Amino acid sequence: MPPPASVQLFCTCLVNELFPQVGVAAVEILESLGIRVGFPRDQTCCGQPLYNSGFWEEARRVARHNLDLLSRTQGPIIVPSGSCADMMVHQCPELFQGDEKWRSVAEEVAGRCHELSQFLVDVLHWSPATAASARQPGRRRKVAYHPSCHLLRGLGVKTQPLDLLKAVVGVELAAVDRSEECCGFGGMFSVKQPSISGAMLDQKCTALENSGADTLVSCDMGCLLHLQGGLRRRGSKIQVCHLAQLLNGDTGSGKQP
Amino acid sequence: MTTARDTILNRVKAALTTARFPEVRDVKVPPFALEHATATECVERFLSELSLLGVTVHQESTGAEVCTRVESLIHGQRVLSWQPASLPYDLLHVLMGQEVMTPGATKEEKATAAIGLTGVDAAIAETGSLCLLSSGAHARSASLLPAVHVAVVREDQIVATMGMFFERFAPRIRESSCLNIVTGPSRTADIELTLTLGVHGPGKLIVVLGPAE
Amino acid sequence: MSYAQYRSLPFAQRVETALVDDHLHVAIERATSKLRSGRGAAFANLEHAEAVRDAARAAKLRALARLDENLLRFEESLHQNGVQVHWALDAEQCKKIVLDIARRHQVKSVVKGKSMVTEEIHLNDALIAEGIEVLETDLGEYIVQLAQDRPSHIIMPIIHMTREDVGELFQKKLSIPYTSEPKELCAVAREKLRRNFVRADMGISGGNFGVVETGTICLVSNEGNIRMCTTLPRVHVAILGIEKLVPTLADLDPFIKVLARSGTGQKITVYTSLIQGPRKSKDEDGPDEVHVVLIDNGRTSTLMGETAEMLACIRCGACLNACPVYQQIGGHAYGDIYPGPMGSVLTPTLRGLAPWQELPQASSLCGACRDVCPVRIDIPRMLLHLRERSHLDKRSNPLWVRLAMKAFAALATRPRLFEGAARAAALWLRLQSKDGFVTRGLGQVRRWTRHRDLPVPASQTFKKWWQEHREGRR
Repeated sequence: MPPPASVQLFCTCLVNELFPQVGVAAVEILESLGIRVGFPRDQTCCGQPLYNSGFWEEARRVARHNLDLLSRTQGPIIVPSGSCADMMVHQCPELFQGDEKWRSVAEEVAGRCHELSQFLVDVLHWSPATAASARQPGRRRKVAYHPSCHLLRGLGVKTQPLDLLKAVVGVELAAVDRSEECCGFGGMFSVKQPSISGAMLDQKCTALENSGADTLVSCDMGCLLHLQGGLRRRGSKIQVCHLAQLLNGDTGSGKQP
Repeated sequence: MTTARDTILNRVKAALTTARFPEVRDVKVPPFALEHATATECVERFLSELSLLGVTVHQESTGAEVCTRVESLIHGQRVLSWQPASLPYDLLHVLMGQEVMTPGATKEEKATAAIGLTGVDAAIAETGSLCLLSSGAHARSASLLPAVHVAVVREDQIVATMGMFFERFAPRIRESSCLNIVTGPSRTADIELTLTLGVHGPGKLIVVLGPAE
Repeated sequence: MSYAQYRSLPFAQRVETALVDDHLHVAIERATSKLRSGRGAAFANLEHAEAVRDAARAAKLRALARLDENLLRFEESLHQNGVQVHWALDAEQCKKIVLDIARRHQVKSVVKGKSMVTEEIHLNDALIAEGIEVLETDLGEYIVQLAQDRPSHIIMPIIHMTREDVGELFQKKLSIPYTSEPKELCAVAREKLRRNFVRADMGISGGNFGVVETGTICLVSNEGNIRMCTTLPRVHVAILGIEKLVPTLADLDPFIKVLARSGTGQKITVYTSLIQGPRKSKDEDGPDEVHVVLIDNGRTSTLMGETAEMLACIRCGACLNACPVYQQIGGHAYGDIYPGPMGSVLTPTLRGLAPWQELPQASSLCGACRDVCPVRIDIPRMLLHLRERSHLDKRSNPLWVRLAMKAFAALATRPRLFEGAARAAALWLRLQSKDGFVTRGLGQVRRWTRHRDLPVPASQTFKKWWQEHREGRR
């Protein structure tokens, strides 16, 4: 099956505000594959923080805004975030259970949503061997990959990010103790249960430091926000970036564009 | 007056009108490899499971050798046994020369027996389990109270899988007051997950495996 | 601090206390990591593992879907087996029933197998108040009883105690010379409990499964204590939650295959007992009477609506071992007999959501529990439903959260305002920052910065970048 001619980007509110370079990297990667990227500008947030806190009426309102927007588009919807993608694929239709009209809109949109790495591997069968990063053969990295919970268990995306990482020249994967365990971010959990979140963070940072990695990569900026914050607090030199940035050959300091 | 029974049943009925059970895949479990095994393969599997469990096994080729073995295991100690006449091979005669507790003995007295001796109603290859049905001739405490349990198994009593055992023995299970499926010696790991054998049930399980009768 | 003192603290304080308890962490880490790897290895060698799990799930849900009919059929089967059946709405009724049976038989001493439902209703206290001696016979529970503590894990009751703790306890309470060797400690317990088994008047157990078709009470154990309790005393009382039913004898097979594997990493427990009824007239041993008490105690509430699936739980404990939150706060912090993920659903649904609403909040919704559950219960889904039910209560969402959520929702449906507010927040964060990060936040931001740094928002949003670099390029 030929790759789609165009896709829509749902950049996520976290990427928009805090890590726009992730969105940029995603756009550049897709465009380098000859795909036209559309971006409905009025998108806001998938509503997950509201949903997870039990504010479901409010979550529906926000979801309807974005679903309405997306339902006026066609083609695959790319989401560079495991948790937002899982929300749109699984929780959104569940939210509208009992509302036939919106449930079917949610399902239609859900059917088109793909987390970025899932899209690159499963749909585009892309190998980053030709990506920008491969043009920096001298750059060696020991990369710890953090599989975010919603990506791994919600969406069942386990091997795709690893396949992409393994194909990047100069990347060696670090073995991280208890790598599939939650980092403790959990969205609002990080500030509603800060002590437990902090304890889980501590354990995860220790494991990351012990792995000998110099770079931490994930497909979720939520997790990375939390992990980067923890690593920095401990004085760690581990560089943190989204998978899209690594693939696009731009890891920078993981911060401003 | 509404009884607790009626109230509970009414509550259940009412709850079921709103109960949401997510998708259930009514799946048929494919046959297990062991279901097609030969008798020899079943015996092999039975033996390897027993070995994993730390069960001592004596495989004897004749009934006479089974009897000799049991005699040497008893070694003059006090025995709490299934009714000797119900035991396989010629164990009845072996027990005549031994100190065997009578059915009329008290619980306290029975608790002093050093060896428990039983046959089995069936054995399961899949797990290395012994199936013991309670009955007039088959006391439960013989496989429970003593520190050592000697179980005599005939090769033809070995069933391949647990599922097959339940299927074949359902009528007999229903007729008995109690079925005990014994898999290995008594154990606990409650203290720091350190394995210790022989907490309340027998700490030593010995299987004497003999030929079909 | 005693368990009673700890238990009386509010949830947040119980959590804080547990988080700094290194002794607890070492103990939990040691135990749960063994249990996790045990489970993994055990399932790796189970043929058709996924189909077996599906079969177990289907059997449980089948039984629950017609629970009213099945309860009646189970009762009928039990009656045919000569078992006396009682029904208890709640803890009080159950205790009364057990006491009545005890009085009728002039019971002076009871031996008990490990049973979560009896802990749930605090049965021992009621018996002791009546002057009846009650002895827990499962080693872990026996130790808990001696220490006047409570179990912190449904399968490994003393996961929070080291061998030294047990050694000291035995020395103090049993007046024996100090030893921390598990083998020696077990031998002491065996001797002590043996005398009680033999002279007890009544044995009490729970029930792992109740088979509808045959009236079978299925009990699993490793130590042999449950066999002792259900064989030696002249009366046996089995207490079963109404959700324990499975349709047929054949249905026991998948459960027997997954229960021990999930809980301890064993292929099967040492003893699997299928009790059909009291001793037959010719039987040499066995109880003269068997009673089954079917108890509700909040299960019918759990059965309503979205939490019905929780009744499929077979009490294996796998979710506890997988839960990163349980790892950090331990079992006692959950405040009731069922800890961890399963407890976070069950305690609110059995006891009432309002007093227990903090439990569903104490989860990052990582889903590890759902992954390891042998019957695939979707715990995160139910936690979310419980959160929805209590979301306006300040114990679930303090004022600042409620305000933030309302504001967020109002803004997230108005893209320009959303952008504007986010930029304003960005400015405010930049004012608190140094080198691009906020390390000591003001107000609610402190909740974040207490444990981690926070990068300030980018100077240009993605939308701005898009506007400048892509819009009009179409």
